[in-house]
Amino acid sequence: MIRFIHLISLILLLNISFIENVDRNNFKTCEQSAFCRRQRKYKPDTTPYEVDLSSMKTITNGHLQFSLLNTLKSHVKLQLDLYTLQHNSLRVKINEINPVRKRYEVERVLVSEPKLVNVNITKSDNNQIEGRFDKTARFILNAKPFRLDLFTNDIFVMSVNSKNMFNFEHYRKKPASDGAPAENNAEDNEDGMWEETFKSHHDSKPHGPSSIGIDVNFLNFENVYGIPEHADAFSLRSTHDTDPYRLFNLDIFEYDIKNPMALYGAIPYMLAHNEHATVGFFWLNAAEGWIDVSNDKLNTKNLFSTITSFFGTKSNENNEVPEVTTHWMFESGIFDGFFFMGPTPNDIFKQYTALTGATPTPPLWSIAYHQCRWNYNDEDDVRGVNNGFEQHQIPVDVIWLDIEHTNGKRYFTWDTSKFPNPEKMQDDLAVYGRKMITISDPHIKKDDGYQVYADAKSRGYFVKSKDGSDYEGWCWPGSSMWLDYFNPEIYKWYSQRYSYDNYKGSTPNLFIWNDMNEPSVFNGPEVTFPKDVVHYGGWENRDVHNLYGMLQHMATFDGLLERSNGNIRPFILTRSFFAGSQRTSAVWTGDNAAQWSHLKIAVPMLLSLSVTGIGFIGADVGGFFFNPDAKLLVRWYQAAAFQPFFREHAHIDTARREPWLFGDDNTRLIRQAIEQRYSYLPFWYTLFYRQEKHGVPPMLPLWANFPRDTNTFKTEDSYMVGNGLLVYPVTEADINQVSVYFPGQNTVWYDIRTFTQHNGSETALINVDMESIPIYQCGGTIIPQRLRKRRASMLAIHDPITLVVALDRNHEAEGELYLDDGQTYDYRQKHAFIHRRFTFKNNELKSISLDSSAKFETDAWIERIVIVGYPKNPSRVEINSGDKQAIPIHSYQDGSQVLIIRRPGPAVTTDWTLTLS
Amino acid sequence: MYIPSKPFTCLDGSLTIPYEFVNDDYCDCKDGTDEPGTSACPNGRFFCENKGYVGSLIPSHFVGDGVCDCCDGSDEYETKTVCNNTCFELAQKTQAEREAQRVLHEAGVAKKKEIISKSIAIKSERQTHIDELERDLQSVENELKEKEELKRQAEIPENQAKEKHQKLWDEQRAVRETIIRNYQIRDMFADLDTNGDSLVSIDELQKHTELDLDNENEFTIEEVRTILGSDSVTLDEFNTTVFDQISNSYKRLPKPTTPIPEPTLDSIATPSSSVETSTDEKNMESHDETPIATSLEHEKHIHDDTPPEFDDETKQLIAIADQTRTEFDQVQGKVLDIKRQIEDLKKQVNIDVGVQGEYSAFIDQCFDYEEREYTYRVCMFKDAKQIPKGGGGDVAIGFWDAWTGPIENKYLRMKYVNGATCWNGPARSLTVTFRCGIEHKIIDVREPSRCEYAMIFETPSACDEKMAVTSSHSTHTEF
Repeated sequence: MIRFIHLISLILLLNISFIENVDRNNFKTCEQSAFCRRQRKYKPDTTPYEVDLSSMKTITNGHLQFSLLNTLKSHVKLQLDLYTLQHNSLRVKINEINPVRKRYEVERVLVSEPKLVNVNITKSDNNQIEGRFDKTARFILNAKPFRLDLFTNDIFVMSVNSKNMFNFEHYRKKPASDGAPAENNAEDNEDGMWEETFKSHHDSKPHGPSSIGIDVNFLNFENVYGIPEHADAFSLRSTHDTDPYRLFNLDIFEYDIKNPMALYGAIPYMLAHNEHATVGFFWLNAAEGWIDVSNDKLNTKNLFSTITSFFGTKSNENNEVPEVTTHWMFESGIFDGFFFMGPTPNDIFKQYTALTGATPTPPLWSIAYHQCRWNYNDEDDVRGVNNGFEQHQIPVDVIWLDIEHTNGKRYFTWDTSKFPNPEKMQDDLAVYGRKMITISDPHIKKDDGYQVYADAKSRGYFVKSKDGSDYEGWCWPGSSMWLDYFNPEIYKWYSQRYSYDNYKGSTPNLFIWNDMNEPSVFNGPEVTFPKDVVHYGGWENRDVHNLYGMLQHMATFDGLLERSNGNIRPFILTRSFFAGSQRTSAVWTGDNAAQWSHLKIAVPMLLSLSVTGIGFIGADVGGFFFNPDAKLLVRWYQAAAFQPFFREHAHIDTARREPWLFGDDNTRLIRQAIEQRYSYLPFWYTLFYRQEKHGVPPMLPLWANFPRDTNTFKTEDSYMVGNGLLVYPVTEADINQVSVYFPGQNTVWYDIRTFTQHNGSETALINVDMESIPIYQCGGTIIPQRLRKRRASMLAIHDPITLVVALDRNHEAEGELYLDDGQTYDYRQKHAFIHRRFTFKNNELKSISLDSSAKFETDAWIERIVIVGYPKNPSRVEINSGDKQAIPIHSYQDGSQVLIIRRPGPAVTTDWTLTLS
Repeated sequence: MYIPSKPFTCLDGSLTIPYEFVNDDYCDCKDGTDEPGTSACPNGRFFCENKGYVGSLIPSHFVGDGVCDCCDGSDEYETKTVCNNTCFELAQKTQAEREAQRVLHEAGVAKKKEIISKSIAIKSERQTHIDELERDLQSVENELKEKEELKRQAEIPENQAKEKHQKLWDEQRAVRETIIRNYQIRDMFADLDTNGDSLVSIDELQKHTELDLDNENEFTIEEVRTILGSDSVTLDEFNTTVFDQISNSYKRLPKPTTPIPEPTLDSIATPSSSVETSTDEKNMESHDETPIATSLEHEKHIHDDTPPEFDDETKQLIAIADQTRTEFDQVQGKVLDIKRQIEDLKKQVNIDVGVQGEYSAFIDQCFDYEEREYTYRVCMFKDAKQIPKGGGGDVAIGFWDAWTGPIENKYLRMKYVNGATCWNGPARSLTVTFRCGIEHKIIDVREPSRCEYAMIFETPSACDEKMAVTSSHSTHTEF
């Protein structure tokens, strides 16, 4: 049998210690979470689990069912369901047969029941079943011991329980109070199984232990990613010397960076990437989770011969290949694992979003610039801020109102002394094409005079304590209760609070921000619900915790959708999230700080979210807590202008930081950054549409576009916007040079300001001053821009387009443009959009429609074509569109090899060809 | 500039283009000057003619954006947006507003003038007062000099008498200390001389191992002899050579001792009977304590002692000197008081109350503003407070700092700084912005940024003579 190196077990013997501070003490370590403590030390030499192959049933083609037995506990019977899914994906469910208590299976995450594909059983003997399915996927289920090996393109990529850490705590009867255990097993009485206490909080644990641990190992990989949300590196770090990465939605006050502590949201999905394949593992589970990550070496010497040839590369002289071993531990629920066999990054994005959904194309204005603060105090203040943008000619699309706009933190109400005419305030903003966003948190103030509370109370809509009474906790308004969105009736009722009738003072220009929805409970254990509060269906919060925030923002989305009879795209921003949140909400990284380190960590945090499906993401510009100096603020604007969700936000105790408050020079720099964002909006919008269609997030790690460039696998100081722009935000205070790695062999990169060329596979030292945002367009791409300035994005939707054609080494390029009305569902319901492909090849630039049924009325035309990297001044430029022909004027700069074609003129909606000769 | 059929040169001179390129909806000039009528240039300027009102330049990216920016709607002529021509209404409204402002400033300036003239009167009054006070100060200071001389003269005999008294007391103390030392020596000698032969011998002293200073080994005969200087010593020899060496370390051997009679102050020859008859409590207590003190602790008792009262003659001298001192202090108080008054007046004179003293009415004035939760109180040139209505202490939101208005008129804004510090935030501060009004009145208090308060204050002092002038001529040219 295979022998593995167990580095993790060595580490467990060490006394793991942290730099303690007050904040951290409010949150559990693995040692303080009883199930994590039990699972983390579970490292047997051999696994007691065996698959009973004789029990195999084919439920349908693509769904095989087996019994899974624990040889040490013959009475515990598990069932293993194996589903071969379309998109090279495999689902494995392990659950108890006839359990003492039904185990929770996560709802509302998958877009639909995953589609099965036929499996071709290629081998079946007394100890193994091998099956092939879909394009490149193959599995080998080993019976004794229980183990699952996965291959893509016949490359061995993942293996499950190869480290024997599968450990399924079955539900059991509580040991009798006289001390005689219900089952004759000493481990059933282990400390923390039937109750535990953290600080002053007691967890009654009425159903006892129910956790599941399993190891999933990525063979021949050195880098794994994902499992957000953590303020940590993009390529996940080994947890040898720390706690495991924790997934448990929490409101962490002034979070620290570079550690595996849980944050506001959780996505139990991990990706692995190497130069041969990109694969993923998603465990659909909403309970508290912990994941150990370890970079190991796997000795291949004794691997059975059928496997050794499948690593893609040869192992080294010591017969070792790298391996990332991961140990996943969840407190309850079932094992419901999805394995994505890639093999390309784009395949992975498709595979994951096919299951959990992709972010739909957001309203155009929501990807423009947002101005927020806790708080804009009153209508005058809002007017003043709007006027500030006008006066300083800085574009902005949205002004936000935080909690102080309400009457005593009663959501759906207004502080009428400060906001006597909210409709007029919104209408006044709408004149400029601008929107307003108000906050709506899930805590409902306990006040009989508050309609929302009184109604919900009388209907019994609040989450219940373990004794059945309405659970009461503290949050912003003081004593509060929380709606139980798990009940479809309550979910619907909550969504109806957003109707214009129920939410007085709201208009079609008002959209919503859901904060504090982990939920944050100031006096609860770890600042959230006790785990033994009870939700709809009798499930404990223990089973469903990480879903709560998502259900709130999903209900909010439904409310806004309903409000417009399904015509206008809602916009919601949420702090808490789970797998699937991307379908209805944008996400931000919560309460960060005005520190350079927080500006820097935003990139890995956003990348981790991007690759796990949450593509509409951002970090508060300037940092939420504390006051940024002008330099940090300017740099933050420059970085965030090239990140998907772009909003300045600040804590109530900070000084004002609207863009014009830091002197003329800084105002100019901030204006430039925001204007640059607006100029690239057609590109961003096209990328968001691509995300809806293909699941590819707009912000990407370099390896997503350069999967074979091993230098990019740990990169987190730069990233890609789509396949077109390489962004290297300046994240250090006093620096006049940055070292930028340009990925891709035979790739050429163009500085977007100077069109200076850089070669791929090379690192260049780039001089920077305060004006600089090091950004490079990839040779081979065509990026649509709007170089005209407007004060809000919605005022520009019919403005002309500039195409920047960056040629590759073969003098070719291609790109896309997607346009629609920017706010309705007409693009889906009436095909009211434009989707065009531009290709440059053989001295011809062509525009063709990618969807002949699509039709969107617009005056938009092509006002300028910039061809970069064109070797010589063409003698003639001609453009043909239908039977029309024109010879536009062009200019050429020898030094930078830039050809600018003036007013080529065709309507964006038409097919045309531009010929250079 | 824009001459048809002639090539156009961008106003910055950077480029010359055919005239057809002007306003052709494509930006050629870096300065945006080739597209004054379209939105093509991000930095261009569009001229709204605004007939019936004032023509204006707007950013050219406002052109055709669906927002009506020109009152004549000319920025949206080429879009579907319908803009009503509002120039006439706007002109009327502006005219009415201007007139209202003019009336306000006119009335305000009248009041301001009153303040200024009052200010001049008050200022000269203050100066007169200061002059008076300074004269008073002169004479009082002369008086002070006289009193100082009287005091000096009275203190000479007083000091002599006191010194004499002290000297006598010192002598008495020296005598007492000698007696006590002798007691101690005798006592110690008797204690050491265990065989009563009036000699302290080596073996007698050797029993007192506490005297062995090296502490390590035995208290050897040699060491004892070193202390004694010979094999035995008499009381006199003990007095001169041994006592000082051992008195600090010496301890009695544990054995019953006969208490040695207590030397009291009575038993010491004392020249003053006043000690006995003293009603001084400390002395009484000392007497009470003496019986329980051992002879070796007597030294303490002596050091606690206080000198006896002065004799009648000295007392009389002191009384005379006291009288001169009291008179001196009284006059000195007067001097300080006048000086303080002068200083206060000068401070008021020195407060910057505007070029013409238009803010002089604020001196020593406080103003309140009632808000839902708080009363805000600013005491001009002093401090500002936030007073909670629901009880609880006042919060200082700042102390007078400076005028901080724009360069044209710094007296349109003032600042109070270094108030109470906010949690996790800065020290509170207040900016008061003044605008023309008929009365002194706080119009609004806000907290736009945490702990940075902003007050709007109406006052005639901020009214502007230029605004008060009827400007019918300029109105005509502008409309």
